[in-house]
Amino acid sequence: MNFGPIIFLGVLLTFACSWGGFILAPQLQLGRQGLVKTVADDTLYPAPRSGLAQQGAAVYRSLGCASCHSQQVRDQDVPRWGARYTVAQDYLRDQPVQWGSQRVGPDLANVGARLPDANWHLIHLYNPRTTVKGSPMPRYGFLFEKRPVRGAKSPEALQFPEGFGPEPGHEIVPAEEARALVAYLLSLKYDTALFEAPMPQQEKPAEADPGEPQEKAPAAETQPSVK
Amino acid sequence: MTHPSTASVSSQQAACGHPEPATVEEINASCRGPVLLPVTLSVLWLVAGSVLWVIASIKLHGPGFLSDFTWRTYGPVKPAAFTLFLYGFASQALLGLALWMLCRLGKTTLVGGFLALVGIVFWNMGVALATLGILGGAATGFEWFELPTYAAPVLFVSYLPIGLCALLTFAARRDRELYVSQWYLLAALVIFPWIFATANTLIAQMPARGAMQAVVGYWYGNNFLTLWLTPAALAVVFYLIPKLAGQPLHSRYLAAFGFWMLMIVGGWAGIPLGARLPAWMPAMSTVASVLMILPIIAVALNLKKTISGQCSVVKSTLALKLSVYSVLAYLVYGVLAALNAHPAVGTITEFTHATSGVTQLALFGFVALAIFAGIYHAGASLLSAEWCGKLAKTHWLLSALGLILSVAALVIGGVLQGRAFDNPDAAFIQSVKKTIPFVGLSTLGMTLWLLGSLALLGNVAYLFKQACANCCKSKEVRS
Repeated sequence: MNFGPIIFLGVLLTFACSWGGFILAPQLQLGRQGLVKTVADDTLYPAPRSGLAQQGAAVYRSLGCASCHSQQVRDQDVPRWGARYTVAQDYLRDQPVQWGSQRVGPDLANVGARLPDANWHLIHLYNPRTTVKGSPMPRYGFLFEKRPVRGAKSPEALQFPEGFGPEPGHEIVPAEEARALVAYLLSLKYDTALFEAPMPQQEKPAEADPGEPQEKAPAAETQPSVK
Repeated sequence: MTHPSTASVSSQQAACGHPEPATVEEINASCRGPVLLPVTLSVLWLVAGSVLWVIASIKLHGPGFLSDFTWRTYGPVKPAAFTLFLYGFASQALLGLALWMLCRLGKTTLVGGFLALVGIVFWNMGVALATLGILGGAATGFEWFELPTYAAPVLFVSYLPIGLCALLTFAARRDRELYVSQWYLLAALVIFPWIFATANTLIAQMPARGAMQAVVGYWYGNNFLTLWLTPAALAVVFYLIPKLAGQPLHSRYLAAFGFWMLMIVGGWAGIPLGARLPAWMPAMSTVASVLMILPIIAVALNLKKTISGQCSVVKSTLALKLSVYSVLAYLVYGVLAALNAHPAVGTITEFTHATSGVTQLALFGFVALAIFAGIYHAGASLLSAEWCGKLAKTHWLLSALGLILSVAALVIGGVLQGRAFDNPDAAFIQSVKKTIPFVGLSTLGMTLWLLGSLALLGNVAYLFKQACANCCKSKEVRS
């Protein structure tokens, strides 16, 4: 191996295989994904996020939430985290995709369906120990404003459980970033049945007679399976 | 069976029209600045990154610690620490050491040293810009490529003159016989701009659609470690171990096998088992991760055979000792990474601290120890001065202890965490609470690592002081 050009060309060739296999081929497969119709009502999936939720996605990225929270429900995670496992199709509109690699905190792929209460999320962000005892999540107090109540209490003020709120005469109001972040969290719902990712109960209907053949899942309305 | 220290450049080369090999003094004079500048700055970034890493680690069990502002929460601090380690320390130090090795192995003076200096200055500006950007909330959210959209091109453009200088030096080599380290360096120097340009395009500048971004992120992260940091670090250990042990490399054929296996297989690992992608991708990566054990064993076996019977030399030579520990860490990492890729283990350890522990072993164990070995050897050679033995011993003992403590705590804690995930009847917080003592131990380990890095920084200052003193003495003697 005394020929620099041979090593150079060999490296180029072997690495081109990796690039072709894991960049070009997935781009041809995943990059061409389009919207698909859902199993239940033939609506196009995934639906676009609201403007506020899209801003919230940027807040989620800038705060580095993905350092602790994943957004991927695997088959074995379904009992704890999701209505169903997630597939590449679910993330078509995510920009950027925030899959994460750690579960220091819970998976958030389906958090909008699991915890649909906006106030819960707001007080959780303000002080995570309010809702989850012993949580190591940092407080995001800088996303909120603490102010004296003048006249009537603001309709946006956080509703704390007893013993946790600010001192009497004060209220905590979410700033724009906090409202956007919660709108994004509530938009994280992967509970729509797809051909490639059916809901678990649809796989085995509870009422079905074991002796009867099960109804076939609708076919040909989505693109080929990617899971 | 060739080694730079033993391979003589025959007079036939001169007869063939090749210039005479440069002397060590000529080589040192040509590359002193372009090697010492990045190496010194890399140690500074190592200390800064270690400080942030300790802060991030404390936050995992003490969430109230320094958390009243956006830039001080765990979310931005951890990516900033990781970025500093990857780009400020490891990449920069390896670029500097690569220039030095290419000169020494090619027996040539550095070609285009000014280009490299300019590139290094801009590289550091890019690292500073990226770190401030990440702390300010501009990270991309992709673990190995957190570089803000505006900072990534700065790093890419800065790399070009450094890479060009390295390739010109390689082409101008006066010893035409290629040594194993040169294969690895050539591969690393060619692959780095390729992966960086791909990630910069498809993650930062013109993001791909949906899940494709995640594929690019996984591919980049894997190749950054496996085909950029790994070959560059292997070049260092392949250079130092035979040279310092005074033995020829055991087998060039085994080295060639290890090299080509790494090139063929290395680029296919990296997609986690549970990634929400078409099943063929994680399947390919699992196969590649298991096969990766072959080149790792080939490297470890080759270097073990090279130093066999040289125990006393290994114990007494710091750079050699660090190189050997680096290869040992590489071997353990290879085994853990292969286990992690197996579904029986991977489904438990995915998303846990265990994966962080294994990555930490690769970065802080294998890569960093190889860099330290290179710094100790190259620094003393370039400045013709001696390191402070006590500081060096403090550095490597603290680093080794901190590394072992942190990696062991994260791996064991991560396995317990993963097992707790799989019990849906228990509250999630139980899995978090199980990890707290282990994360605490990891913090302790990283604090030791930080203290070790400070000792290294002190030793770099000591080395420069010694070099200045030597220089003054020689001037006095002359006058």
